[in-house]
Amino acid sequence: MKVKEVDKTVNVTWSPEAQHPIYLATGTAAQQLDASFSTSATLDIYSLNLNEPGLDLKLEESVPTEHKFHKITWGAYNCNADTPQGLIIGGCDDGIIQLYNVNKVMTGNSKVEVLPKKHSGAVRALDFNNFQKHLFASGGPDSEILVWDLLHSSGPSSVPLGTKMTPSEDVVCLSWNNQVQHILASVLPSKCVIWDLRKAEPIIKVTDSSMARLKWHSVSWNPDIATQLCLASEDDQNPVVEIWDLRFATTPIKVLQGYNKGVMSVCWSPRDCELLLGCGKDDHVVCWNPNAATPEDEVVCRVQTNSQWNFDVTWCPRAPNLFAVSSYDSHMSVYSITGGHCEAETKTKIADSFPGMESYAETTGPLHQTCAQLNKPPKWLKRPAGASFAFDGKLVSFSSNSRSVSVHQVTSDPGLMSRSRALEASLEAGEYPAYCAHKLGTSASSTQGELWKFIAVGFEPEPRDSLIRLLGYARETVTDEMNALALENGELNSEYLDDEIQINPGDELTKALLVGNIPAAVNLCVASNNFADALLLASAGTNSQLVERTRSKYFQAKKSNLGHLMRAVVSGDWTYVVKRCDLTQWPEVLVAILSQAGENEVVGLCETLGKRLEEAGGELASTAELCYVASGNINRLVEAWIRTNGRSSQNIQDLVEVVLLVQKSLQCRGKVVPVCGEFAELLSSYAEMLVAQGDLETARAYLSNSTDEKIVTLRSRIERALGVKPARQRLISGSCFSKGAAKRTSVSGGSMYQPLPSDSNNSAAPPPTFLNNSSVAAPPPNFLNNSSAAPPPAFLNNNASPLNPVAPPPSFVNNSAPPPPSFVNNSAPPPLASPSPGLPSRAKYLVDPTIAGGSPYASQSYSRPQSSLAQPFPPTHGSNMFQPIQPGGPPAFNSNQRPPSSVFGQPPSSNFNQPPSSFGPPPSNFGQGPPLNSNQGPPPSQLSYNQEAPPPVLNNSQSSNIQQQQQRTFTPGWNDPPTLSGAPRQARTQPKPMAAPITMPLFTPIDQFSQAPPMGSMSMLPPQQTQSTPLAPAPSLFTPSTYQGGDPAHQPYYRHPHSDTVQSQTPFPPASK
Amino acid sequence: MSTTSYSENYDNAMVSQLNLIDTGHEDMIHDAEMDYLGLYLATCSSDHSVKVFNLDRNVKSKDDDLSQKKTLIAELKGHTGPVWQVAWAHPQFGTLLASCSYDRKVIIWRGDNGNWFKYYEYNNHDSSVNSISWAPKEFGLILACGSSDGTISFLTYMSDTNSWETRKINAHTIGCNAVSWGPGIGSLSELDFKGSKLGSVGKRLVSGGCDNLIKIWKQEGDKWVEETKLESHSDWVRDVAWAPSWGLSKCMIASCSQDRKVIIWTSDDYITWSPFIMNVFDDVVWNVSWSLTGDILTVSCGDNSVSLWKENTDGLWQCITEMGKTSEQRAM
Repeated sequence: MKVKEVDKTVNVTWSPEAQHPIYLATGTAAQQLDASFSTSATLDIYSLNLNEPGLDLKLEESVPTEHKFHKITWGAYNCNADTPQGLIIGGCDDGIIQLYNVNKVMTGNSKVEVLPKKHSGAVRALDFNNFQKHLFASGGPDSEILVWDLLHSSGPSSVPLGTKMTPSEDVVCLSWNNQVQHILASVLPSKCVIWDLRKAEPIIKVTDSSMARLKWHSVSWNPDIATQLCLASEDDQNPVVEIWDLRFATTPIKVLQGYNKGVMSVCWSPRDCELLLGCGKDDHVVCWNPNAATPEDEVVCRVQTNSQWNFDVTWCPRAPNLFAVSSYDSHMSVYSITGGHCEAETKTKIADSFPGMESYAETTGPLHQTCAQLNKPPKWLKRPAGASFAFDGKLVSFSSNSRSVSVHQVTSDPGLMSRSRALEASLEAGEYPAYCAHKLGTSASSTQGELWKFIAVGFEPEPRDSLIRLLGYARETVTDEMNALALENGELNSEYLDDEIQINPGDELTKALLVGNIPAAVNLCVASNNFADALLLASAGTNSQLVERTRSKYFQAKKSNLGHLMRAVVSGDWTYVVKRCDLTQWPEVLVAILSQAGENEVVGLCETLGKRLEEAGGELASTAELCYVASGNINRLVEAWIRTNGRSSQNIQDLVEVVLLVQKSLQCRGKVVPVCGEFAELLSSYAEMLVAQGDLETARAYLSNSTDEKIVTLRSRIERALGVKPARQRLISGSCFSKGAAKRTSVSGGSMYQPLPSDSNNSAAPPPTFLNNSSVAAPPPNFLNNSSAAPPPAFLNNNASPLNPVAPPPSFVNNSAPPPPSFVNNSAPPPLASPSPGLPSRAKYLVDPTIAGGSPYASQSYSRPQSSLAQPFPPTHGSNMFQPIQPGGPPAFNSNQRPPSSVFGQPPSSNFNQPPSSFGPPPSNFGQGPPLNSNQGPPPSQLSYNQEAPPPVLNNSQSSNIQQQQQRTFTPGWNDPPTLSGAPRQARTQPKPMAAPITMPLFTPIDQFSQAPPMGSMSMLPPQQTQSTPLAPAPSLFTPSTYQGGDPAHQPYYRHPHSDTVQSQTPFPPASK
Repeated sequence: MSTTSYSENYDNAMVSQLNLIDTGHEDMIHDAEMDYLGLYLATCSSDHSVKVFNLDRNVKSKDDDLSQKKTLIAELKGHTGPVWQVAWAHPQFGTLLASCSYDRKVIIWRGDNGNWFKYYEYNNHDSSVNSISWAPKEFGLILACGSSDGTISFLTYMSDTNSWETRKINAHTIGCNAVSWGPGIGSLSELDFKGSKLGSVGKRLVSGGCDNLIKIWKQEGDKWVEETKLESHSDWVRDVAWAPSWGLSKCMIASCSQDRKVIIWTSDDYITWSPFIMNVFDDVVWNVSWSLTGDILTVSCGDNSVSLWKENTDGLWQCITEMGKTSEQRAM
């Protein structure tokens, strides 16, 4: 797919791989004229500008130049962090070689440097060394090849390679080897000469004697295999593209077909040795896979260009899917080999810019639309390694090292797990005060300590009194003090009765009293500020409003601090005090609330106080939590805590400890603590944290009862992951569940995940929903104190037996199905079996009937009812619940006897919209989401497929395919030595150690070695010593690693397309037994 | 009774190998994903096939060799090129597994009690489909697909007509390599979103491409518009992963690139994102993936190393463990 284009006839070069963003440099092509016969020339630098739609490249800089170019190339010479752009060299007529420092060009400071003329004519070939960025080779007429050293002490200098060869020919292409840095390939029309720079002489000449007339024009080295190169002939009679291996340099190892006219340029992808581009005198670019198994498969892509005479094609070194094509008919285009979207605006733009050529645009339009794509997936799309997490902290990872996938359990926070288990254990054991004391002893800060003191008090017999005492107002001492005061007041006497009564009729008050008009009397008293009398009178009447009003007036008149307190005491309404009190006196206010406010008001008042404290911030904010603890307001406590402490796992753990203990203390006092709102949010977050550590069992324990949607969802997910059928709703979950859950029917979470294989076929259990409903609907009054309600009595024998201290197996191999531990709402320590001290901390499982797993009978018969047991779902959220594909209800299906394998044989869910009797889940969930009944879904053809077993023929053909291809791999052929498998690629990045500097014979010794990077040792030895150095034997030019033999394990990338087959080897899920 | 010891030390992370599943794939594996419950594993490979394995902890055979054979429950063939990724849909929609391939196709497979069949095939991309991702279930059954043709497709299941509605947007000029959905409503904690700017939740998608860009897309009405463009990578973005927003008052995206960098992007309003270069690795980073609680990031590189990273309290990312390179070369 064409990505960008420039409408000029130009030579083009990509910026080096290290350069970001990607640039393209173009130089006006020599010996070409456009329609205007312009003779001006420029060197232009474009940025690829991929972010903008449309085909325009963004021109960054343009440098006018006197000479047009035969060849330009861009090297990473002088690249460093500050100036990453490198150097462009251009070959021109008359032996001129121009140098452009890109950094200077880009900063507008373009100064062309011209190298000394050494060539006698046009410089048509240039190439930078791949390893030593300061070396490049140039080729001119008369077989002239020069190797230039830009770092030479006396300025850039050159050394000619070899001698004049006959016939006298132009050097048309030069290319340095990709692995061995001192090997250079030079192309002359009649031959390709390979040079070893250490010897400064040709080591091999490649000529195809079988072909009569060849005009070699281009060469490209295999990116991975050092000895392979590709040669292309521009002769129209023999437009051949040949792959040669220098180890067998008598005949090409492969001749690539696909061209009818001369091939001007070939380029091997640096990122994938199975992609080789060629372009030439017709209007398309061909991409070959030289490694293809059959000649028909060799052409993997043919990119139509709407330009003729494409004379150069080069892969982008940085973006592996891009290549640039230059053509002589005023086009330079950038294409993507992996396709791209074909924008409509492309066509219109062409039409716009060529008025009168609409028809042309229309005809070329379809060309744009055909998105050529490689038949062969390129290597750069092949993800070699990856990892992903599963629900329960498991990590699935794979890599190109193996064909296996490994599953790891990641426990990133073992501390969290140990604390969580400790908490769970002490909750289960009921040792709440001990736990509080421990927390108090280890609390890091005084505020935490305070908090734990408050919590611990909750477990005392009279928590309110204890709290008040904790706040410094022990009721006993206060009462004692008061009593002492009362004694001093002395006894009442009745002496005043003896006085004679005088009535003053003139007094208004007297009148009112005489006629018994109490309201009037009260008003008169108030008016005279005689509140004692007024109150006395008001209380005499039966008019409670009057009393109220009088009190109000009194308090209005007497605005003292004490007055407010009195008012609150008298009215029993502390709201005003709480709202207006000085916050630093929060303990006093709290004492007042706790000692006097009614049971129902405490929460509200404490919340008001707490909110004020939170708003006050600072020190006071943390005391808000104390208020919430004191009033047992868990939701506010959670909210405040999160706000002040954040949500790190440690804080969540701290908070959960606090909250659960508060909950316990409330339950000890017989209060119902619904798990909803922020509390539920916290618990589900906490459980998710535990799940992420892989501790599903513990996580499940914390979720044992709530109807909060998140909790129910998470619990169901955990249970299904554990392979436990949703447990029977714990009977003791009286809290908020009992309020409305009796009406809630439920949906079995079974869906795709079938029940445990361990389910036996005995289905002695009564229809579970009945159990559920009845037991929940009528909880016994003393229910909360009865934690033994859950396990059926039949299992008590098993439970009580301490002979089976089976610790829960590691979660991932856990075959058993423990019911959710019930401790969260247990209001009393487990009465069944008190864990003996020697048992592991998770002794609770001993009371779990299913864990007494030694007895298969127990687990079977217990899990059976669970398996079909329904799980309560709030009806309002029903649609969010997992939609069972197969209703989990009827036990007949639980036995994993898959009904006849056709899709139609499956229980179509539509039939289950009316589930049989009491077994089934409510129908409400069915019919939402995608159709559950398969007969709606897939096209008939797929359906029909499913009714048949996978044709075994396919397997055979597939395997024979592989055999064939393997045989092909073994047959000695052109691709025998190589294996284009990845190993050598790494070698490319590590230059082979050289026996001697490659230019050693070429350059005379210089004294500034420090400038020469790895090559620094170059010329270090005196010449005579150099000569005495034994030359490495020729084979050592190429390191053995690049000579790998055929790899039998090598898998062909080609495979005949399989027909659409589905093989299900075992039913899903697998049948048990 | 108070014999319980309350250990509160925070040890180092532990990573233990539970299982090694010989997939039997005949070529490179390109993806491996566990389903919603962690019971089933789907893998895909250059050998054109998708395989489904049962890893149910409850059907562990005593004989390991046998069990490895037993775990393969389906081999899905329908692609004619390397299969790059697989993705499980939320089970509320049924057992659906999507796969995308170099053959330009996206196939949604469906497994009904062991019978697997092609449920839907989408072939409207012009080039390799490199990445697929199911939307959070709250948004419905929607699959996003990123392709080398530079577009992203959205396949939406319409339950009323029992059909798939498709929509395609231009995203990354010369190819989209990765897509990942922003979190759904359900995963946003109520605690966090009181007063947070992140409260307005809509459908969002992040994508990474060959233009070195990361783009964040937002659905407005029935259109997908580019909300933000993130530019920090200097080479192809190989993968992007939007972190689950559990417990976070900000949202986070991890991206990795051919330039060997992993960048963590954070934002509290979806508009301004600040990049943090988590690490520069030794090789191309191909894959980043969050744990379900969003606190651990896995990073997989071209040198086959897989490392786990966690943010410490100072906001720095630490490698908590590294696997791969050499240790996993068994069981070829």
